[in-house]
Amino acid sequence: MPDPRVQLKDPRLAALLAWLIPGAGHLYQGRTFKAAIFFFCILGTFTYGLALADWQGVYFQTNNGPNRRFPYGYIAQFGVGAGSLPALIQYRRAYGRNNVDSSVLDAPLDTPFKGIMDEVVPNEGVRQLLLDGRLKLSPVKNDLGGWGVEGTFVGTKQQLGKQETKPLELKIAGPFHMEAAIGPEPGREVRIEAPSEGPGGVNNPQEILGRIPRSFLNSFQAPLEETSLQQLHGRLGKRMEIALVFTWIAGFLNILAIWDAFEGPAYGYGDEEPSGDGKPDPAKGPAPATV
Amino acid sequence: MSVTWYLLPLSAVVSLVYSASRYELPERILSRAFSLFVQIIFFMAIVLAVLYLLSFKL
Repeated sequence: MPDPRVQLKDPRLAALLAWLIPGAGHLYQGRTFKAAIFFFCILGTFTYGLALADWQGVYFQTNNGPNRRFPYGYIAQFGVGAGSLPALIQYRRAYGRNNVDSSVLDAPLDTPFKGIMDEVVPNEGVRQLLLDGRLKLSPVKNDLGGWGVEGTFVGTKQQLGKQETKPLELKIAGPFHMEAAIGPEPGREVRIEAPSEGPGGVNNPQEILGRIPRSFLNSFQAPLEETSLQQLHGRLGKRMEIALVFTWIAGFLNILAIWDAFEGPAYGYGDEEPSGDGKPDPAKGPAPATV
Repeated sequence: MSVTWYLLPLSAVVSLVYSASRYELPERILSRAFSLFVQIIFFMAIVLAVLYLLSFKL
């Protein structure tokens, strides 16, 4: 039986609000001090964990091929409520019928681009160039009815392992491949198989491979597949483990907050006389005031 | 930064939220959270010391 001084109002609604946004249930009940503690501590821990994992630590994934496993981590993160719900939406979107890799460009593309390209230099062999600039592509139909792209890359080239960058303008025409729109990485992979030579001084340019920006709405909490997960662990190392622990703990802590919104404080109001075990005894009521 | 330092904010958060779910009075919550924080750090320090001794000169 909760202390009569604690006004729980509608405990079920309070518990639901507390799950949706940590602290919201307590705010609804007028318990602002505890609302502030739950809001800042739980959401702060969760957000910090998200940031530590480069915003990719919260996702729902059960389609991991042969390594199929139950999403225990997400179950813990689910305790945070609204903060974890985008992962479920992104899971549905990512495995939807329309989210597939594409070889046909739907509309002209004009976007920043970073990538690599090989050039074949006579008597020297293959050199790898880093490209950084802007990609402008339009869809074109080839003679046999297939689709490709044509356009330009304008930016800089830098030979791998060297500091010097040079301006480059490259005409592009050839078969095209673009990764699905929804995915966890902030960049969307683009491959153009046979770029044309341009006035930038590239010898026999080969395939261009790189990434164009992916919108936040298409990448935030998108499901990680096994390869992306391994890459993320490899890139972040222990930071990834710590990040996940932060998000899991935030989810577990919110369960305490939800229960407190539903049932009131577990040990009592806090001014009761302590019982034999040191905990306050609600049956004894508030401790007498001492002067 | 050593990963051990992450223990401090995490312990503080756990102490505050746990204590806030036990009591209602702000003073009681804060004092209980402080003592719980000290207990957690003390316990972890003991574990660290034991592990250090066990792995000494390994």
